[in-house]
Amino acid sequence: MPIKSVVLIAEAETDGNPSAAMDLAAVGDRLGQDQPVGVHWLVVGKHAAAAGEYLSESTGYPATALVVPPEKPLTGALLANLAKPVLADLRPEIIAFLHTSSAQDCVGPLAIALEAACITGVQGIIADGDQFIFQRAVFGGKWLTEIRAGDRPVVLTVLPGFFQWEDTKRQPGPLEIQQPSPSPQRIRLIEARASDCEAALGQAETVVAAGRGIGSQENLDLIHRLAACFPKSAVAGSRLVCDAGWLPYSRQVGVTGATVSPALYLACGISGAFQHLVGMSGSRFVAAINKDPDAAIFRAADVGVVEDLNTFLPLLIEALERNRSYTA
Amino acid sequence: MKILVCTKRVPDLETIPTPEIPPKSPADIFRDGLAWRMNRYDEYAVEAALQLRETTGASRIDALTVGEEDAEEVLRRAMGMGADHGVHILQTNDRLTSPFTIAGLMAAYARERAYDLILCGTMSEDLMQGLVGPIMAGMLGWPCLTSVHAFAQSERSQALVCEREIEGGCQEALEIDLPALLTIQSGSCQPRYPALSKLLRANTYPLEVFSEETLAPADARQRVVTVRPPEQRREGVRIEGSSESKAHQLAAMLRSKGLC
Ligand SMILES: Cc1cc2nc3c(=O)[nH]c(=O)nc-3n(C[C@H](O)[C@H](O)[C@H](O)COP(=O)(O)OP(=O)(O)OC[C@H]3O[C@@H](n4cnc5c(N)ncnc54)[C@H](O)[C@@H]3O)c2cc1C
Repeated sequence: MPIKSVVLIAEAETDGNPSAAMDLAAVGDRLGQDQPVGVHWLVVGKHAAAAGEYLSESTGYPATALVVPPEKPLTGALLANLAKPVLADLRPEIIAFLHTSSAQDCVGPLAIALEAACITGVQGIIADGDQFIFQRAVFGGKWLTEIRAGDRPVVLTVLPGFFQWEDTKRQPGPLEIQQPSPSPQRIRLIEARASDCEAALGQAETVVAAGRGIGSQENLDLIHRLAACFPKSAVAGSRLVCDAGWLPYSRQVGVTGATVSPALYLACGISGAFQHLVGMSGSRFVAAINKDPDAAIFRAADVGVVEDLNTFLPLLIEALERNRSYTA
Repeated sequence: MKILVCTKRVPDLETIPTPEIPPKSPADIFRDGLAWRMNRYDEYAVEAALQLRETTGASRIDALTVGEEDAEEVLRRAMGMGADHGVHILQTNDRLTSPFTIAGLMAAYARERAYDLILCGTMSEDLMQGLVGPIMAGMLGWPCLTSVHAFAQSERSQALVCEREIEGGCQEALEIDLPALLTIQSGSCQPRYPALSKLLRANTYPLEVFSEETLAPADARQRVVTVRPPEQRREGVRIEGSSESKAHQLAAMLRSKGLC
């Protein structure tokens, strides 16, 4: 069987170990489980040299680092432009990115340039003869689809948390450092601002999170009362709740909001889209309340209750308060 | 400025069940009896186009959809909100059509029509791929930014300044040269609700209708071969009983685990 060539593309705009990229390394290993593959890193950004060194050493895969001058902040378009010549050389069958904003800008146009297929949000890989089938969620996580890419190369984005890297001792891979000088771009980063996520969310031991199922801003009162039943608690929301203005964006949990890992995460009227789950999957215990018995959140919860929040939350608050008065 | 907004008709997620036995044909997850509406992110895209017209006097806003006869609904809604014109590419669609096919049809329509800006939703709520917009941009050779929640004309002519939220809630402002394609993310400015009178009037407007064959369909490149219920990632124990009993069981469980 011919050896399939795989390129893992890691962004290196920020300082420090590119720990998120280890999910990609795990994808490389996963692909190699069923057939021989040649895996290669392409590391792009201001800090590509250090990140490339770390990744090639810790994974044993060879790396090409494209060090981008600091006055040219990395955008998805720049990432695609810099990656194209390297990919044209390596001619990989599989190209994998993490599912980041820049990756989402660049994978579509890159697939067109490489005449490749393109599958986003991959969360599982199955071998199928000498091909692969890629799994991704649809309908807010209610179903999983399995996609085959035919004979073309395929560009993927991989969701965080689905592929676990197993750290074994490996021979460091070789590292090649290049310093491309990017041409003027049609997309320019003007300003980057840090997140204004509420620090209290990260410190809370219990996070009570409201989804659109809460129905109205007035009903948030129930969520606040529920949170008050727990010590060191905080109220958070899904993106849709923040979009509606029911909670400030600083309280949003998920990929474009805060990441929390409390002892208890109480998801109230949240459907369980992966963009939300990314922000709370590190919670120790997850309880979900939703009126839809098929909601995806129940697959990401330790315990689930199928109920209407309007009637159930007052009962739960009462039960918890009674609980408390026993202890007191 | 001439703007094209791409819209899709999607089923309401809450009406989709997950039976444990998957259907034989993947497309059958779109069973009969679903409630359908305009993709929410596309409503934001239409709203963004309308607001740009209000601030800059864009000359024309066209709404485009690819889909079966019924998909016409979303064009009517876009026109009810204020779009000038509706374009329907009729496709006998298995609803899991490859994003390359959809993007190919849309790009074929847009190519010779001198748009300055194309807006799509950041993803469709049903398939969640976020690919039709970026692939179309690739086909047209235009720059593309995804998940933009606000934008305005830049001081430079022929460019926009776009705001978006990226990983961890960080914010970015980016300038993009026109013509450009943006995919629109939900945000704090809610899409307007069309007045009934406007919706009724929109029902009488003629639509431009194409069959997919006339637009040279592109190669699909990939195919959904199976659908299955997702795996249980945590235990997912269901608490059963009357509402009162469930509340007590949940409270007792949290207490026994030292969580309250
Ligand atoms: C680029 C991008 C980034 C995103 N980032 C984030 C992010 O950071 N965080 C985030 O949360 N989302 C994010 N999203 C949005 C995400 O895809 C989902 O749309 C969102 O998480 C859904 O929010 P929800 O669960 O509150 O609402 P819905 O999906 O509408 O779900 C509401 C749920 O409430 C239930 N319900 C309704 N009424 C009741 C009732 N009376 N009692 C009990 N249950 C009820 C319903 O059954 C349903 O399951 C992002 C999307 C994109 C495209």
